[in-house]
Amino acid sequence: MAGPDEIIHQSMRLKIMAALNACARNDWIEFTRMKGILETTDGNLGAHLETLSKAGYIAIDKRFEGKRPQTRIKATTAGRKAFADHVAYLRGILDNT
Amino acid sequence: MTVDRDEASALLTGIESVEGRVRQLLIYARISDYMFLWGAIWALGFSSNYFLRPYSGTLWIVLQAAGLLGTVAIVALHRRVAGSTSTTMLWRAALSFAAIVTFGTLWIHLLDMGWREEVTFWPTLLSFILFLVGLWIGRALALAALAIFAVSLTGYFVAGQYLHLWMAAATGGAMIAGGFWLRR
Repeated sequence: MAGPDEIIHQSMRLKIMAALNACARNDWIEFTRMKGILETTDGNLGAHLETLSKAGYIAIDKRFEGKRPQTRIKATTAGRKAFADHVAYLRGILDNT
Repeated sequence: MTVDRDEASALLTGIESVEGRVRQLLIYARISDYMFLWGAIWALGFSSNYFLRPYSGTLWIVLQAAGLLGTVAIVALHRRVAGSTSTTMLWRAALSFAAIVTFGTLWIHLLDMGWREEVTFWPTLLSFILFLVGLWIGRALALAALAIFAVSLTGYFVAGQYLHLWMAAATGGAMIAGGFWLRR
């Protein structure tokens, strides 16, 4: 059994990855929508997204939708794999105890 | 880093909760695309019944063909976003469309409905189907469908000779508003 992924393991980051992983590979989630799903604040979400982005687990796209700035996020292939591995690790703990 | 059984269990429960919420939102977003399309078609079609009565039969045929093509296009778009190459969803959409039209047309003729009943029948039938889907998918969809159903039925009883206008503005509008509400 692989060990835990310390970047993803943090509760909020794990939920971010769960949300992104539930989407199709080409689907993005808007920052504001993600904030609503996770019921968190701009600052908290932004900080965790930064960490995940630096790890190469998510892609962040900043663009304009009309005149409104929009930030959207999606999981990278590496992020999906890391998430799947970490979920398998957590399930392994339940199965083995 | 060590993770005990309780923490692992709590984290997995959190993951399931978030995944369920996201899947529900994705389904709402997809259903709202169809609601925008058919809300617009109802608004145009029922308006034509009132303002362009001599041409409304032809216009409805054109609008229904556009609706079918639009529905297939939306399914294809959703497939592309999902990265799916299966044609199952396209067939399901086309067959669902055909089944609903056949069922509705059959009962309109068997019951020998008048124009007011026929006009009210389609929006109430579709909103009833949406309501049933909503009971399985989520409360927001069920409530939106119930609102569309109520608006349509209210028109039948209160709109009198302006029923087509009611269906265009109130029911078509409610369908589009319901789509926006699901995307909120």
